[in-house]
Amino acid sequence: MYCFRGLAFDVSQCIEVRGIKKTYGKVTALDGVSFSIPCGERWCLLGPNGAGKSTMLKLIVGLLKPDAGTIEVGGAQPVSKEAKAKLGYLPEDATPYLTLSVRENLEYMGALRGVPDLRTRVDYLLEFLELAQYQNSKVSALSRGNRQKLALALAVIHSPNILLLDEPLNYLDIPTQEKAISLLGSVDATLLVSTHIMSIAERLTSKALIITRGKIVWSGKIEELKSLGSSDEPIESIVARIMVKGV
Amino acid sequence: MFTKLLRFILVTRFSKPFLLFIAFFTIYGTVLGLMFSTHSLFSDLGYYATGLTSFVLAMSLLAGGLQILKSDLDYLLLLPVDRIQLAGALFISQFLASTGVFLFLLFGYTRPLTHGSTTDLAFLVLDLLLLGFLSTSLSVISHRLTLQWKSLLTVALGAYLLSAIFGFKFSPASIFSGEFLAGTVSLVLVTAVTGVFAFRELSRIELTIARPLTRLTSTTISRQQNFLTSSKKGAVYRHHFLLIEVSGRANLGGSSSFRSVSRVSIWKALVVTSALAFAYYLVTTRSSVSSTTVIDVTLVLTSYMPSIFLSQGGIQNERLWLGFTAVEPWVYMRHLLVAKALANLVLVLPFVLANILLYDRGAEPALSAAFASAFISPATTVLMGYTFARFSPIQVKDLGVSPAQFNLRQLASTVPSFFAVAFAGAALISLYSNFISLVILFCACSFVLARRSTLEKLVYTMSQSGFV
Repeated sequence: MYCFRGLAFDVSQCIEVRGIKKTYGKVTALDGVSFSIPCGERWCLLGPNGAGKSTMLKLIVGLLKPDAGTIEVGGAQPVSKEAKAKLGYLPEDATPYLTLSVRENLEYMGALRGVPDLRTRVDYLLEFLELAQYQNSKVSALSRGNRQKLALALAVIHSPNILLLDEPLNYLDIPTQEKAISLLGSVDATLLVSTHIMSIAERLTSKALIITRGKIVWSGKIEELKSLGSSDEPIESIVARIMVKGV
Repeated sequence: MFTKLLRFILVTRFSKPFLLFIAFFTIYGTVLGLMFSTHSLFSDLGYYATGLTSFVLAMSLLAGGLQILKSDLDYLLLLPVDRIQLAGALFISQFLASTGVFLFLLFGYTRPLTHGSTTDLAFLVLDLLLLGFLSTSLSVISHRLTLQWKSLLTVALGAYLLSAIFGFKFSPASIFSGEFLAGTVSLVLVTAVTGVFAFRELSRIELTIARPLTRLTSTTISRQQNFLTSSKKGAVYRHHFLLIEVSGRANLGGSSSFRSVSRVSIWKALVVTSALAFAYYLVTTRSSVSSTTVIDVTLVLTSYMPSIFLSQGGIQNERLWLGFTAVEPWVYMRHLLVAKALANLVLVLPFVLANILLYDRGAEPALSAAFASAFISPATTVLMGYTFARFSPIQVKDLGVSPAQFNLRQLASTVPSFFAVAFAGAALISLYSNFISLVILFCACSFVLARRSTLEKLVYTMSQSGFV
């Protein structure tokens, strides 16, 4: 444990969020959100549209500054070099660099992240995600699905310790979804996945945070979440009830 | 129906304050022109008007595009709307988005060329309107051309228009040399041909949009950049210094679409600027126009034009979730801006060299211009990058469509270009004023690049503005 700005942090927590508030003009996106994710755990972030999920991920990754509260990523500030080295991030509707080719995108990000043996890593990802045939294509010429595959590869190119994913399987066909799930399953990282699709949440993660109107309304194991409803009640219905009415 | 359609198209493409500003600025500029047209500054007004017209029309062709939004593709174009009415409304919108409208500002300054003749005055009004239509048509046609064709046609058009300076009276710009009849005839012909073509493109807008996008699907990059052995900083410079993204959305600069999010190697761009600098040297030494005027106008243009493209194109194509999450955001932003400024410096170096040679041949103002060329444009790239990211960050996400509504904030982001023009003007007064200008620019750039908090704020603003 150590103290930072009067708050105690546990370094075994890969993501530590304390009292985060974020507003856009008069709209409050996040209102006093606190949670922590221990290293190695896999969590999903659930919530209705506009609940503040994407804002939360952007704050953790250091692309937004909170109005109040603190965030620690592996014991470091989100904008610090240390946090950047650990984090991998895939936003919703991610678009890689349109003017670069598929291979250039991967090599550029690999170089920026100082990935050792970069050529081998790039070749592996191109082969695994079946992008090798497009490696010289300009990203602007790719289909939306292939762009998403590339975006996924860019998020994991440096084998991050902490991976933040916002709707990672958007636009992917079913065989590629399986490949992506296999890739993400094999990554040895703490995971925080924002999604609307419960089946994806269940396959990629074991714990859930439910956020509604900028506040965490439930957190725990997905199994516990299921047990909140009757035996034949689908999990989507339970989650929807929590989102609307609370627990 | 047409009124409703036009209103809808204008409201979805321009904010109301922006439209009011255009109206105000056009009237204000025209009145100002009428008041000061006899000032000694405008003694070479025919030359200025020809230069400006050539520049505006050439830019409309080179950097034009369609004023179409993503939501048009999803909704508007699916409606059972009369195609002719739609084309008409889109043409008017395109006219307001392009610099065509501003060509009318020349009215005040060029009125003395009519020497009080009512016929010539009528010709002048008609010609300025036609030039606006021509600029609009060229920006529409630009959408379907490849970068190679655009470059080629731009050079040809520029040469045709500038031929008026050398006495060719069948150039549309020869109206500014007093050749109203011949100039008007050529202008009517050129405008009619391009206008018909542009209108046809707009009346079947779905096909017009789809054609270049279809061509894009087969795009591969033959000469790949190799980042494998680059350091972190080296990778940023290899990307942002060696490659120029051409997709500047200069407000009222005729650029309204991002079909051609293309990249150009800096060495290829250097060949182009070298050719332009050579042409500049020839015009200054061989033409009958005063060398001081040519040096002044060229310095003003080179002071802000490259920086608009380099700063906006660089930032519009950036990806916050990639570069800015791989290294500290403020460090990445700093290197990005410096890389773009260095790229700008390389591109204007041929003009610096041309100015040094001109000074050697006895053109006194060329020495100041050489210093100013080397500093003003790169510094303006940094400052424009800052204001663009701070006040109106717009990210290119989809091809073939305009990414956002035009508004006043976007105009605010081009303010440093006006300062660049002022600094260029000051630089030409004397070496002393040149030195003061450069010190001010150096301090402003240092303020932007040295302060971590300033750069971090840019990243947060971009993120909040929807940059992914």
